[in-house]
Amino acid sequence: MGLLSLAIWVPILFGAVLLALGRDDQAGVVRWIALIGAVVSLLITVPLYTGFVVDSAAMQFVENMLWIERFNVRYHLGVDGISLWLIPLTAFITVVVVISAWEVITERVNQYMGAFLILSGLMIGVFSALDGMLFYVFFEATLIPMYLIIGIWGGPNKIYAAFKFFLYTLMGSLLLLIALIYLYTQSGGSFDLAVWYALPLSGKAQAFIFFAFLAAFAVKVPMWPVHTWLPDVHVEAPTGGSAVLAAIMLKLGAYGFLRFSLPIAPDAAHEYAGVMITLSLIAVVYVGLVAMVQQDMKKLVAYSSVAHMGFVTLGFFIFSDLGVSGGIVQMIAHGFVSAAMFLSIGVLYDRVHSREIASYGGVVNTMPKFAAFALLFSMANCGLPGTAGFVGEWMVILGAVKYNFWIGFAAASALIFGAAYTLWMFKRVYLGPVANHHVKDLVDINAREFLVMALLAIAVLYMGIYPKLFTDVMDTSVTQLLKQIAISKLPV
Amino acid sequence: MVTVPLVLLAIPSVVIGFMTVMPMLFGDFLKDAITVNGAAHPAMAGLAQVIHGPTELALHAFSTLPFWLALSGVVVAWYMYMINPAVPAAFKRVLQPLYTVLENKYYLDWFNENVLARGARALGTGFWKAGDQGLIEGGVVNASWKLVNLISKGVKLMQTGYLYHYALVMLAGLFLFLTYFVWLAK
Repeated sequence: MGLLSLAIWVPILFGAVLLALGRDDQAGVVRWIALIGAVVSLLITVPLYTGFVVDSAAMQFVENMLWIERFNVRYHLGVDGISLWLIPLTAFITVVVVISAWEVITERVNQYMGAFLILSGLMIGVFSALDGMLFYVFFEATLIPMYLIIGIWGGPNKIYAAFKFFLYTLMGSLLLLIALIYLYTQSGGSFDLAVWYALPLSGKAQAFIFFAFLAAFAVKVPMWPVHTWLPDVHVEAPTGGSAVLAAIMLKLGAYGFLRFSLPIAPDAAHEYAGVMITLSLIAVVYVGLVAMVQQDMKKLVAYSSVAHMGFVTLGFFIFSDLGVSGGIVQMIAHGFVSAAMFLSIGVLYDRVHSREIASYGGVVNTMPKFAAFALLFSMANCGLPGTAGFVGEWMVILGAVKYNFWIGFAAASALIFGAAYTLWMFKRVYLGPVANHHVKDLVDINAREFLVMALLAIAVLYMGIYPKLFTDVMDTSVTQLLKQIAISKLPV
Repeated sequence: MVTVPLVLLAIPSVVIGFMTVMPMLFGDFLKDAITVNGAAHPAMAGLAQVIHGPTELALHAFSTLPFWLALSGVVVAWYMYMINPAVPAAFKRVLQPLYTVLENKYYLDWFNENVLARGARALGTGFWKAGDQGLIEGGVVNASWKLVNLISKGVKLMQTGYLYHYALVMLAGLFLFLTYFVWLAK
């Protein structure tokens, strides 16, 4: 069994064991097994980085075998510089989520932990699938554990949120399935992505495929105007669910653009780049302004996620090294920062049981250690230099300015809006005098919470100070992708 | 309260400045960090002609206009605010409009708070309420399920369970199709 298979199936296996373990009288054992499973799964991804050949744009750690013979569906896995970091990121966030849920989740602990481990394996499957149908199976399968996580451990309106999440994303995915079947028939019965990359397609066919992919991936990212499910779902999801949703699940959509839309329909991607850039800029500016007036902390960070993901799609569709690399870096950075933001809100919610900004004030007086972490994460969310949030945004803005000054200018306004809504929230929640007896009675973070915060703080700072570790691996693959999409696939 | 830290900071500032000004400007102190191309940028060579040491540099300050202007500022401030506050009060009366503008920092804070920040919040609220909640959620997302619900309710009414109702609809359908194919589609 190859490394990628291990990275996919070990967490799923641990998840299955947890599901079989029974009820909450064994919660202690369940938590430790979940943690061991998450850590082992993370360790499995380490050789992916150490053994990765940086100079090669080819798929690495490839596994290829027949899965469904009748339809020529293959169990075909591999990673390149585009997908490499998303796999350890997924495993890392799962470790963080397991630790963060330690004392917080007390009901159906085995199912909660099991759902996250299974979800982790499925998401790694999405990032490593090189067969269209295999990708679709993993892509759709991720809906099930997340649907259950929201529907079982969510807030008062959890059923509404779970259904909204499921229906929204499923609706988009149906068009993806139709596009995959169309490509299967056009390619003479193959789901192999490499075959599809080389397949000549008419302008009309490319336009259909591009918009079918867009329907699925835009909902997942989410792009404006199909973003309204995200705030509703975040508000109701448990803290761990929000962290994984923002940190990893949104990236499934953005990754889909790079793996499917751009290389399979390059002419359509160029033709409709203006539409994509416009939608991305609306996400950055419009949603940034909407984030500013939110009274619910989770909603604010959810809208902030939409704005940050706007940077990702903007970077992809300006077709430059800086833009695409910046978009990928932004995906990874947002993974760390958004998880940290949601987990910070979770720390407060566990104590006060309110997400309303107005319920807080002066938290720094009673929780100084936690406030220091929250300040760091807030700064990273603003894109402050020295933090992870800065690197990707700076690369995308630089790429956008080279592409068109005014697009770069509009994108850069996001830094101002980001600073406005994040720091204003920080001021109202953490600074000033103690607002009420709930804040007065707050107890600072314990060792477990400190560990979660510290792990994310190290990641945020490391990526901000030394991003080379992340950018080096993607250079060759991004250059190759740009070369590939510069060549027309229209039949001659 | 802050005097002692300020004194403690001032002493090493003077000592370190005295010890490092020459090697920093003309020596090897920054040789690994900053390289000056003397041929292209002869400014440092020109400075080396007139600066010979820290003591001379410090004494030279007493002969320059900025030093005396700064000192006179201290003296004037001391006179006006410690000895004779009537003078600044008179200035304030005579130059009231200018005083008000300066007192309010050119009204930039007011502009930021009332125009930029308030405007951004108003725009954000508008986008949120009218755009997200009104148009997207109300007009598209919720309208879609309401439409499906409406159609289902209508279709449900047609399911009466009576065979003759269904037969009548079938006959009507047959009549319409035949009319179309026999007469209209010719």
